[in-house]
Amino acid sequence: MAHSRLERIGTIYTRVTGLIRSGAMSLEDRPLWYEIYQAFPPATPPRYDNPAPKGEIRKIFFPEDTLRAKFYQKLPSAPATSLNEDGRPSACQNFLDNCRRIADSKGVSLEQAFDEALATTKEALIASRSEARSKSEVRTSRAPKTPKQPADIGGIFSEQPPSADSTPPPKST
Amino acid sequence: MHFFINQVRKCGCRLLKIGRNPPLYRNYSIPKAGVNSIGSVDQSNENIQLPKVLEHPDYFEVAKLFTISDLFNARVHLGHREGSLDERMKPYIFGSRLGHLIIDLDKTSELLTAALNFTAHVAYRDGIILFISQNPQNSFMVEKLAKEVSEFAHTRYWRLGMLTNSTMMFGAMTRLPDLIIALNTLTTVLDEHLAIKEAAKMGIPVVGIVDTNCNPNLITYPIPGNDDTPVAVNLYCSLFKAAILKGKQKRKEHQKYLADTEPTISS
Repeated sequence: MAHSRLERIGTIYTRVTGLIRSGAMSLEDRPLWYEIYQAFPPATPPRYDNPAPKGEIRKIFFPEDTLRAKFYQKLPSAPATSLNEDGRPSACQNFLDNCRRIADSKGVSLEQAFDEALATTKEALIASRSEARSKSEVRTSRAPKTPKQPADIGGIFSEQPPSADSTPPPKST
Repeated sequence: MHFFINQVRKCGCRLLKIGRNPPLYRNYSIPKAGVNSIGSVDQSNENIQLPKVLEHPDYFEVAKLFTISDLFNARVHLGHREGSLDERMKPYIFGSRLGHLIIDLDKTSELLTAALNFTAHVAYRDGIILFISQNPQNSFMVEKLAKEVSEFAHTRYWRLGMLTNSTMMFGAMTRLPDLIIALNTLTTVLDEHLAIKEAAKMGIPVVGIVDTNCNPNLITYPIPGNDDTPVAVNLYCSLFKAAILKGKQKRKEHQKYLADTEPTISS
């Protein structure tokens, strides 16, 4: 099939159109996508030399970011967030929710609600930690297994067969 | 190399013009400069009236397949660090959150709809679709997708010339894919997939997921989005699967309609 392999000139559509107009490609041999492209051209023509636009990328900041920064300054040991659990808020998000609730109920600004919200968040964290610790204690304080009976290997070389309640002798090599 | 193993249904080569299913589109004239005409079905026979698939803005209803919150939940908006930015991706970027680039999902949504629409139309016309990706973490998912829609996948090392020199490479005349869907347009963090350039040379359109460190210029239908996270790739896979199956389903329906009406024409 006739085709222009100069991928740096124009787009795939303009190259094929040019070939058909000049007669190098017959209409029957047009690519399968040709009419689809014509009906739904891409938003930006896929030219090799499309220039990169100028301009800065804007920074994304939220008004409560100062509170977030202060939170992590005061509580550097805030628990890590699991990315596997969708929709579960981070400790910082819980703190911000606390902040908003307190600010709304008392009619104060978010900054003024900071200390109280931090205290409640700390309490909640300590509570959840002690809960986790008690859980792990439960796990370790499980009833101990029956202690292992010391193996009686004194008579393994004796002629008599071992008694029924003693451990079986190890394999002779 | 998987697309080289031709399926019997599709082995009719474009050059040889054999074994090709009768096209659902007829009577087409090349547009003169400045005139935009759309291929339509034969109007001379009143008995055959297929819907004008190309004139419908969203015939396969691909816009209903996803919502922006689906994209957000699949973490499509998460880009790479600012330092690895490809400047040509700037129009698709919402901003930078403490050094991490965030992709504008409004734009992703529009472009993804256009790409899915194009894909469904190619599937409707019985085009060969080739999925490519060289991300080892996601390659099984991509191959599974290709199997499910009975299309082709290539997720291994790309030998240069598989499209441009296919006849020599495979030792026989090979029908090239009609559409390439790249779920990852990079092979390493720096190098572009070789198939992108080859597809541009051979006049094959490419639908591709472009992350913030990719070059979208040669991608015919770029979809800005996260191309690393398995959840996001899984979402793309399910969307492409749905679009292709919709296209194929419509094709079956229309072919059945044509087969049913054909005898009435001859009599």
